[in-house]
Amino acid sequence: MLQRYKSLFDDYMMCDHQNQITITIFCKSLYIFLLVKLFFIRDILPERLLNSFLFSFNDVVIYVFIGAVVSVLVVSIFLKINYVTSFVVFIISFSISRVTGVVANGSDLVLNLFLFLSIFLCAIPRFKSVALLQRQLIIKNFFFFFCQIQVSLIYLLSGFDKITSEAWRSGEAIFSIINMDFFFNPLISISLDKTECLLIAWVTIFFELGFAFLIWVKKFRMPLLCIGIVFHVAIAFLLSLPDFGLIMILLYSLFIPYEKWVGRTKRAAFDGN
Amino acid sequence: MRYYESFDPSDLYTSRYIRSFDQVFFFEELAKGQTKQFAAFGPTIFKQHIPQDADSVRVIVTRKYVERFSVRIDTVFNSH
Repeated sequence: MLQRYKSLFDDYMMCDHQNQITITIFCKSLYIFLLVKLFFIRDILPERLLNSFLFSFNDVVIYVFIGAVVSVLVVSIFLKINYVTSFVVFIISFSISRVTGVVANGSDLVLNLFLFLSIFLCAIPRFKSVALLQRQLIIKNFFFFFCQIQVSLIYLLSGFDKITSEAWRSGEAIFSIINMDFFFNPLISISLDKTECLLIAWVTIFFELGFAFLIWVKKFRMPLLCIGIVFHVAIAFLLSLPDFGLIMILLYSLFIPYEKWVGRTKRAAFDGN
Repeated sequence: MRYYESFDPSDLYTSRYIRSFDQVFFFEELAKGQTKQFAAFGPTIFKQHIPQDADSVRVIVTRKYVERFSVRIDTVFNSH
């Protein structure tokens, strides 16, 4: 039995093209997210860069710098995922988060974490030596698995944090959230009683704790991802957190087996012919 | 507020940016107690004017330079 699992694990770690489409979609979606974010902070970024100690130049230098950053990101989106662009994109994202720290939130932390991990998801340029190439593939596959673990840990820690909080266990947290005027969508007027607050709080806790464990069970994976998308779209719409909602949905691509879908489509096309 | 009118995320980032200045201006100056207009906001004034059994406080702050001004009322959850 153990031998069989060891063999399966070895096959997983040594496989060359495993999860390649998933990795490509995942990394490029993070790059596009960063590019879109740069567009939305276009009013703030030049001022923050001018105030940072690195730039005591004029506006022209700032706009040239921003143009260069955007160009690098656009090129990275169109190139194959490789160590150089992944590293450069991570440095860009990290630096922008540092410069625009006052507007940063959880989405920036998540983005930076996964951009850092994505450096190790690359396998280009490849080592010529077979022994080194094998190690390269092991690292790539290990970090893919590690990224998935990180996603489930985000939910586990968030759920654990909520279940240890009296405000969440009593439903008070939900009541506070819907009454925070600067946070909650003013277009929606919701009045919840204590039972409804309690119910929503516990559904949230169960979803977060359940996600961390059940995402590893194939049968529950797709339903959980669908519920998660609804959960994060609701957060993005009801609370002022569209960036966090979007980045969490992008992380779900790590659990979507694009390879199988592509294979199935190819097989169906082949059978059709 | 403006974000929910336009659904343009750049408004959201701008409001977060402006809020960070407000927070530094108000809370840090309040904590230091060095600025004249905020010195009066020290803990003693709360003790003097707010009854001990009060469950909420409404404070209206008028800023010298007003931008995107609005009045908001916070509420307190009654768990009992």
